[in-house]
Amino acid sequence: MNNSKKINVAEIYGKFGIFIILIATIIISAIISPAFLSASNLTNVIRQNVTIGIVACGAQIVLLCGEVDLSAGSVAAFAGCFAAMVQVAAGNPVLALFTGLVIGGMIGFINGIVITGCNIPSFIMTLATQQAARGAILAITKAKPISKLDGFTWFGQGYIGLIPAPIIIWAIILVITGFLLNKMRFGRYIYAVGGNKVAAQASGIKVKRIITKCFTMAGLLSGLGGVVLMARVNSGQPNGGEQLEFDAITAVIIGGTSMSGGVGNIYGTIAGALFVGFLINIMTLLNVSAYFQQIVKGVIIALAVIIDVKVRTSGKK
Amino acid sequence: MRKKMWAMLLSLSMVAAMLAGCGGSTSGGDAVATDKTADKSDIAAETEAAADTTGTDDADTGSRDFTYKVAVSNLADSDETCYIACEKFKEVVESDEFVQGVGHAVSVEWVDSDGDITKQTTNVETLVSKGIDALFLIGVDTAGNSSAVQACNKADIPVFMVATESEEGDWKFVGFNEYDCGKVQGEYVVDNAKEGDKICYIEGTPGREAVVQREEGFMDAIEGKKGLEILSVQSGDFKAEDAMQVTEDWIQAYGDEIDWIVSQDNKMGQGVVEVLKAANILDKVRVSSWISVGTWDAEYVESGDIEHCVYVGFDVLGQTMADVCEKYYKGESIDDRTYMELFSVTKDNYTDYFTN
Repeated sequence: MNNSKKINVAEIYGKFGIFIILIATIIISAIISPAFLSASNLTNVIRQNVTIGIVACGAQIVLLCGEVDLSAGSVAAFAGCFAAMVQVAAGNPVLALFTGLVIGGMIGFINGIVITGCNIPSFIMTLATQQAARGAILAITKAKPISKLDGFTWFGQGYIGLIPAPIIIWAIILVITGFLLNKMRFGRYIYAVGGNKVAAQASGIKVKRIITKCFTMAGLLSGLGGVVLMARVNSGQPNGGEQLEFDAITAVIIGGTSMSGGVGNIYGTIAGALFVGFLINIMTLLNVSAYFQQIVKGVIIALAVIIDVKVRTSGKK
Repeated sequence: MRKKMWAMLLSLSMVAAMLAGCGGSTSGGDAVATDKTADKSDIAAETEAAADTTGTDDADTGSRDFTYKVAVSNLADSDETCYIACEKFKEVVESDEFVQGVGHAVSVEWVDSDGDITKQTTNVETLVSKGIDALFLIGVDTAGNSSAVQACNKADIPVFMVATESEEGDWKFVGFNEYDCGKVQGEYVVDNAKEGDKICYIEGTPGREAVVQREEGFMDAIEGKKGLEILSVQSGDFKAEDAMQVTEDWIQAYGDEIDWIVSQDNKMGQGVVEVLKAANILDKVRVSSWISVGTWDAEYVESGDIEHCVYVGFDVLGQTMADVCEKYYKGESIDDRTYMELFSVTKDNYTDYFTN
C-alpha cells in the first residue's frame, strides 16, 4: 500500500512536476506582492518571454533528436538585424519577416548539413556558428543598431484586440510545434532518433535527414525570435539575443526534456519558460538586487532540475 | 562521400559569406606590411630630420618611407561606443593630415578584448612582442589592467589608459570620468526635480567598473538634495530588451510613484522610452539617459521623448586619443590626465551640439 502511494507521487511529479512548481511560484508571488497577479503584469511577463519561448520550441526539437544548438542567440541577432535592414530599405514588414525566417532557416540548414555530413558534434558546430554569426552581424552593422523600423514593430509591440501580437505569434508556434511533435510521423521520428539513433536507423528512419530538418526548423524559429526581439525594441540590435540559447535551453530542460534526447513535451517547455520569467518578475517587483537575482536564478534552476531528475529516477525504481 | 563534399562546400560558402561582411577596418586586422618601432626618444628627432632632409613635397605631405605603429586595445568591439572611438582614432591617425602633422606615417594595430581581461592581457603581451611605439588601452578592469600596463612599462612602451584606469604601473589618462558622467545626470535631476521626486535607476552589467562609478557619481550628486528618493536600482545589462523588461516591472510595482527613470547608457534609455510610450506615460515620467553616438540616441532628445542626456561623444574621444598620439610623436609634453568635455543636453540646447 505504502509503496504504491510513493510510486503514485513520483509518477504524478514526473508528469506534472514543472507545472506544480509553476503554480506554487505564482501562488507564493501573488501572496508576497499584490502587483504580481494583475492582468497587466501577467501579460507583461508572458510578452517579455515570447522570444525565449519561440527559440525554446526550436531548442526542444533539436534536444529531442539528441543534439544541441548553441547558435540560437547569434542566429536571432543575425536574422533579426537583416530583417530590420530589409524593413528600412523596402518598408515592407512582411518581406522583412520573410527575410528573417529564410536567413534563420538557411543557417540552421547549414548547421544540420555540416553536423550530419562531417559527423562533428553539434556542440562544436553550433558554437562555431554562434561565433561566426555574431561576428558577421557586428562587422556588417559596425555594432550600430538599425533604427526607423516603423511598421515592423507590430511583430513585437502590436495588438490583435487586447492580446499582444507577440503572444499570439508564440501561441501559433506552440500549436504548430505541438502538432508536429505529437501528431505527425516526423515528430515520432524525432523522438525515435533522440531515443536511440542506431535503432532508429535500423528501423529505416533516415536519421541524418531528420537531424538536418530539426536544425533547419530551429534556425527558422531563431530567425522568428530575432524578428520579434528587434520589433519589440524598435531597432535592429546586433548585440541582441546574447545568451538567448542558454535561456531557451534552460526553459526546455526545466520543462522536463532530457538532455540526451527522446524525452520531453511542448507543455513542459511552456511551463519552463514561464517559470523563469515569473521568477525574474517577482524578484524585480520585490526590488531584489541584480546580484542576488543571478544567485537565486541559478540556485532555483538547479534545484528544479535536481528534484525532477531524482523523482524520475525513483519513479523508475 | 558526396554528402561530405556538399557539407564541406556549404560550410566553406558560409565562411566566405561571413567573411564578405567582415571586410574593412575592424579589430585584429593585419598589421601594415612595413612598420618600424622606434625608440620613443628618437621619434621627435627623426621627425625633424625627415622634415629637414626631404624635399618640399615631402615636407608638406610628410614621409611615408617609414610607418610607425601605435596599438589600441579595445574593451570590446561589440560595444558600439568603444568601437566608434577606436574607429575614429584609426581614421585620424592613418590620415594624410596626421602624416603631415607628425612627419611620417603611423599605422594603428587594433585588437579586441571581447570584454575579457585575460584576452586583453594576452593581446597586449603579443603586441609588445611584435613591437609597438605606444599603446592606447580601453581597459576591461582596473585591477586586471595592471598586468598589461606593466608589460608595456617593462618594454619602455608608453601607455595611455582610455576612459579607464590601472591600479598599478605607469600610464597617462585620456578620456572622461565615469563618476562625472553619473554626476552630470545627478546634478541635472537635482536642478530640475520637484521636492520629494522618486527615481528609478537602471544600471548596466552588474560588476562592471563603469557601472559602479557612474552610479556612485549619480547617487553622490543627489544625496540629501530636495528629498529625492531612489525607489529601485535594477540592471538592464546595457541592453534595450532587458531595460524594457525592468521598466515594465517597475510600472507594475510602483505605478504613478515613478517621477524619473535614469539610465546609465543610451541603449537602456531607448528601452525605457519604448515601454513608457507603449504605456502612454511618457509625459508623466521624466527620463535622463546618454548620448554616445550622436545619431539615433540624440533623436530621442530632439523629439522630447528623453528630457536630458549626458553627452559623451565617443567620436570626440577617438579624436582626443588621436590628438594625444600626435603630441606623442611630435615629442610634446602630455598631461597626466587629458579630459574630454562632458555635456548636458536637453531639447533647449540640442542644436548647439547636433545638426540634422
